Amino acid sequence: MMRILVALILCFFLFVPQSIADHPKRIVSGMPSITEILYALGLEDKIVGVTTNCNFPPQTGSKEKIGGFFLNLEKVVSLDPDMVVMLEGAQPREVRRFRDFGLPVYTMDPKTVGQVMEEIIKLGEMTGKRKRALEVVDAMRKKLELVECNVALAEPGDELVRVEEESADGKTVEITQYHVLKVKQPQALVIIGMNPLVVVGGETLIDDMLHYTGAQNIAYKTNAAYPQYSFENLMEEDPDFIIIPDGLLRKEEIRKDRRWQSLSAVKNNRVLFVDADKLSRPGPRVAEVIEEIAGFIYQ
Amino acid sequence: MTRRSRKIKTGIVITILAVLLLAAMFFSLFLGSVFISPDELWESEILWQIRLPRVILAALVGLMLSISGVILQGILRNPLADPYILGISAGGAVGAAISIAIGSHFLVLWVGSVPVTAFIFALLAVFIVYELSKAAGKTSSETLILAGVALSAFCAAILALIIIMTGSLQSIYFWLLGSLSSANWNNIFTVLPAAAIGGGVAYFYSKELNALLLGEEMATTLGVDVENTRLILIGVASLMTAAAVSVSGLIGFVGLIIPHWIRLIVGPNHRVLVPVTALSGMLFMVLADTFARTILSPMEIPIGIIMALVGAPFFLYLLRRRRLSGE
Repeated sequence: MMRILVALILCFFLFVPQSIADHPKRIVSGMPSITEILYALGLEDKIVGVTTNCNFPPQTGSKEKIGGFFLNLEKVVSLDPDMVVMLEGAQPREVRRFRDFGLPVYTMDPKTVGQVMEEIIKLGEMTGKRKRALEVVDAMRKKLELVECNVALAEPGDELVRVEEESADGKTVEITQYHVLKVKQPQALVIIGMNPLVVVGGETLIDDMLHYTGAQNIAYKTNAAYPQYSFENLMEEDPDFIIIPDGLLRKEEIRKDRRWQSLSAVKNNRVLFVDADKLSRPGPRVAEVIEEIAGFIYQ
Repeated sequence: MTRRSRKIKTGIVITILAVLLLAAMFFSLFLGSVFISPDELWESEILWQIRLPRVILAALVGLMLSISGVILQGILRNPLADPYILGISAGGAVGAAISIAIGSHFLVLWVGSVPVTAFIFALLAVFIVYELSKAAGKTSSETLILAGVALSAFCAAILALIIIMTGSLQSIYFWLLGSLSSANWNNIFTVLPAAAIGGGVAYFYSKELNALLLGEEMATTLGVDVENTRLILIGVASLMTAAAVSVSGLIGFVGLIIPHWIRLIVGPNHRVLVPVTALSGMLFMVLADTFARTILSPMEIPIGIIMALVGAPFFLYLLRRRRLSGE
């Protein structure tokens, strides 16, 4: 009995410190979205380097900087990280460069809201914050469910249509009533570049975010992820809603420009300016943006 | 050729070009990434708010850049001069970018802060290049072009720096490659005065430009106030370049190709050269922009790419020909 107890205690000492050592202690984040995830997971003390574009949460300001769009390999190496987290799709060259150098790079590449949540859990497991990760994802999921509920409520299921027809002799009027399913989704377009116009295409994170709001991205069919769009197409398609990241263009520019004034979204005051960071970063705040967009569409 | 028959020839050329220009502007209204049937076209917002302003702006930019080229080639007595090659466009672009980055909004007369700052920087650029190249007494091609290349590179670097520090990387695309995609009626009203003043001054100074071709001394004996004339003409060329740059970014080689072709056809007399170049520059730009916005529709090729594809080989050809002729 005593022996078993000792063995157990020994085992405990053998495995526990090791499993703690397994979790990275010095983490470098190569993208603002990753920094946001790491903070949400409560890894503030473990983060040793972030980019100059990382601005959320505000405490990131005090962390060491490893560069902006272009990362500084020397700086990263000098921080002696045991985990460098990067976005595969957004910075493939940096990822390859860091891997070739032998840095412990861990990448993610979420393309949907669901994948963002999966990646948060995966990263949580790797860093020993599984419980916290599940809480974060649960909070996101609750927000999304609420949005989907509201969207479902806002959309009238069917509509009563009355059709009046004159009978053959032209004296009596026949009235027929139909229940017609209202399927027209709000049409939306997300503009992310001006001169030339660049919009969000299909199979992107932002496109997936629009699905949750019940809106349809009018540019979902285009072949590129972020296709160039002509103003003529914009006028022709004339979406119900236009979503523009803050800072891309000023409200006065829209007001002054008669091209913009001829769009129904502009006429009906249905242009939403959203925080560019929240919109573009595949992190915990995607749920907030979805909430904001849905709130705007069904206000 | 008698004076009279030369006048008739000029009249014919101008008439043909004007007709071609109007035809090109008219037919390009039917083309675009969205197909609109001719019956509906005249009520379409796309026509009045997108295509028409764009075609007009293309014509104005073409006019301003090609006339700037004529003026610069005349006063520098150098057929390789062009606002883009000399770095004046890049200087103007730096000014425009600074104004946008600072976000200052002031109005000078009816013109916003962006073209005004662009104008100041374009002037600065032209004087730097001019002073640098004048060192040897008369402006030699080599020094002029080298000074322009260095200044362009410097300005492009500053431009990129401003954009990296403040704006989105995508806007580098607009500035360095040039595009008319931001065309709207406001832009037209912004550049229209510059185009009118520039075109008018170039035409009324064609006698002085002709005299300057003969050299400063000769011009002085012909009664031309060389210093003042030069100042006014340089100012006007910078004004037009800056106006063009602030609505369309850097579009190169128009000011080089067009005056050259036209000089081959109508000769070096500026009284003819200026109006014919203006019309041809407009025509060329309208055609090039129609091509740029339709060929890969709905994607748009920045027009600067097309100009450089056509213009750079032409520039090299000129350079080689000048070397062979021993100038």
